[in-house]
Amino acid sequence: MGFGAVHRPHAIAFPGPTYITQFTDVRPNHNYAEFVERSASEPAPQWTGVIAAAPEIGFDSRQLKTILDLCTDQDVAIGYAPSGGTVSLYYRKGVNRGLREDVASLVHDRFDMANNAMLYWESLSAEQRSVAQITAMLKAVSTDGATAPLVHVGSAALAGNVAVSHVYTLGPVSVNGAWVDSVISARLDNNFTFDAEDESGNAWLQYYGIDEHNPKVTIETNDIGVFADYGSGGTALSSLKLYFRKLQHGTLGPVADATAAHVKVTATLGTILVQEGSGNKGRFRVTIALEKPDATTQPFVVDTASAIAV
Amino acid sequence: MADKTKDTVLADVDKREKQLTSSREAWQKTNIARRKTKFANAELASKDALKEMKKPKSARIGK
Repeated sequence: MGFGAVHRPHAIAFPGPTYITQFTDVRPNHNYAEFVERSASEPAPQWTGVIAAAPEIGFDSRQLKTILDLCTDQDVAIGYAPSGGTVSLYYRKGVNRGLREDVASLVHDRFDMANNAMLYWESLSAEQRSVAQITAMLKAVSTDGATAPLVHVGSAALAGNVAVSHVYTLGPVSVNGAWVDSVISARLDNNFTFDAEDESGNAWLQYYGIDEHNPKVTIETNDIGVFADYGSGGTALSSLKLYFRKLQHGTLGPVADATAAHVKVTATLGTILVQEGSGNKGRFRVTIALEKPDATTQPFVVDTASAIAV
Repeated sequence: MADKTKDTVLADVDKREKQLTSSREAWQKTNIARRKTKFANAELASKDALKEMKKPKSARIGK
C-alpha cells in the first residue's frame, strides 16, 4: 500500500496540434453496461460481466474560442475518423511534498483516441460577474467494434503549453434589433439526441452521430419589460446576437466592444417566449427556440472574432 | 360596508372594472408605440444577421 500521487488534467491534444488546457472539470467515463447472471433460485450473482461500453471524456472549459473554432461541422462538432489523427487527454503528476513533476518528465499519464474521436459541445453559458464556460464531449468510437477506442497510456511526457489562451464573460444580447436590458445570465444549449450503434455482438460503440439538434437560448433578466416586449403569446425571432465578452489580460473589464475579439452567436429564426419569473428581486426567463432559416443554413453560427454591435 | 345596498356594491364593481379596462387600453396603446420605437431596426438587423450566417467558417474565426 502507499499513496502514489495526485494527477491533474493537463491538456487535451487535438491533431494540428491544438491544445485545450483551461479546464474546470474533466470526466473520462467508459459507460460500461454491466450485467449479472444467476441461477433461477439463487439471490447472489454467479456470473458478472460487461456486455458493452461507450467511452467518452466530458469536460467543462473556459477556452471557448479554441473549442468553438475546432467544431467545423455546423459549428457544433468535428469527427477525427477514420484518418483524422489521435486525440489525447493528458494527466499531470503531482509531487509529494512539492508541486508538480516537470512537463518533459516521463512520469505522467495519457489516454488516446486513435483516429476515432468525435468532439461536440453541448452548452455555452455565462452569468454576470462570472467567467463564461463551455461544456463539451469527446466520444470514442471503435473502428471495428473489437478495438478499444480509449486507451490508457502510462509513462508519458506531457504535450501542450501550460497556458491560458483567453477568458470570456457574459455579454449583451440583441433580439430583433434591440438590446435586452438587465441581462444577468445567458446560455445556449444544443439539446442533442444521438444515434449510438454497434452490431454483431461487438462490445465497443461503433457508430455515433447527432440524431436531433434542438438549440435553445435561455436569457435571465431583471427587466419586467420583457413581458411587454415579447407578449404573453410569444414573438417570432427575426435576429439574435448573443455575445460573450472577452476579458482583458491584466486590466479591468472586458476588451472594447469595437475590437473583433468577442464570441458572437447569430440566428435569424425561432420562437421567443417569456417563460417564468422567480425571486424577490424578480428574475424573468426568456427562451428562444432556434430554427434553420433555409435548407442549407444551420440554426445558428458562431463568430469567435467579433466586435459587439446591436 | 354594512350600510351599502346591493346596487351600490354593484355600481362600485362596475366603476372599478371600467377603470381597469381603460387602464389596459391605455397601456396597450402606449406599448404598441413603445415596441414600434424599440424594434425600429428589426428588419435591418434581420438582414444583417442572415448575411452573417452565410459567411464561411474561416471568416468567423479571425483568419
